[in-house]
Amino acid sequence: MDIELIELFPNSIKFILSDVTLAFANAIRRTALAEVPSLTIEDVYVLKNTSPLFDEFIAHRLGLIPLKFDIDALELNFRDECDCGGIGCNLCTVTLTLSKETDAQTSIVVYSSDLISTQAGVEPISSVIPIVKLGPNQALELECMAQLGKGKEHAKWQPVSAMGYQAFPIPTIDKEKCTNCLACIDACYRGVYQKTGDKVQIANPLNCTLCDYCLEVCEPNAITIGKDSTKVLFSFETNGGLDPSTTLTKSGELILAKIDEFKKTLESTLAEEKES
Amino acid sequence: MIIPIRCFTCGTLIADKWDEFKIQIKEGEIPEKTLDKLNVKRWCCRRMLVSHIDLIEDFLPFT
Repeated sequence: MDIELIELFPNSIKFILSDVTLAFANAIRRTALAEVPSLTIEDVYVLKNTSPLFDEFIAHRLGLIPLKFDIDALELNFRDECDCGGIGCNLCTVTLTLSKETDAQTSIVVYSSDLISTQAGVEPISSVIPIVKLGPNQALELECMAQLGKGKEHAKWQPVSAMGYQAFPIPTIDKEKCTNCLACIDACYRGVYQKTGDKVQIANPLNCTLCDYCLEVCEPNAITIGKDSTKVLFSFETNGGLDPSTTLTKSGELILAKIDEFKKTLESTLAEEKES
Repeated sequence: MIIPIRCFTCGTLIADKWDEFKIQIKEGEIPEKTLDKLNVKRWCCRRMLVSHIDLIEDFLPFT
């Protein structure tokens, strides 16, 4: 197995994963989407709300705001696995408060920066997410309980978006058949082909999404698009709560934990079978 | 009503780009270029910003 990084930004990653099957790539994809935990607001206690939006509307908006947190330093429990029995305590819940009021003349926008966290290191990833707009003489007072959750429970806990992989594309141009009509350059919206001198050449082979549109427009049939089935082109974005490398490491750890559990269960079942 | 927090299709955060998008459009910038500058890549996220109407402004006098 080999990983070749193409690009790595704080919020997104793209890499080539070679010598793996698609099933393996899919395991990583599914684990990162559904199993890697993240922190978002789950319960909202509305103390006062005279804003134009309903309590539920605001609670839903608050839930979708991704929170910045350090998964290893925070050491939060999942609420249903916590000693408190699911009521909510310091070990499984982070409290955020919001209190905003307007006088008779002004109207303001309540932003995510108005959410005040009780735990250091936990805050909304962006300070300019509009939550609601308050008109004159309106007030909003909330208490929010954030907890750890998994993507399979609700999409707001998904740490990643646009997570996916594709087969490794190998576009080739048959130089003898090519008439340099440049139709493929116009057809490809991803900019795979480029004109260098007076000849068409493949400039960005990795941009190819295997849509095969260039094959349709190429009259002399000079283009072939091959696939390397031992390689996958993997890319995803994170919502900011976790960085891409942590997300990948965590999903790897979770897959290993599942395999360990499977091994233990299998061994104990076999041992029981032998005794009886 | 008010800009959705995340893209309906892919779940990327888009609400944080709304204020900047609105300012740049008011200054006469082309939406296509503004979206590129704000690093909104996919068209599912781009339509969230381009097609949004901030109705909450119209609601405010009646609340």
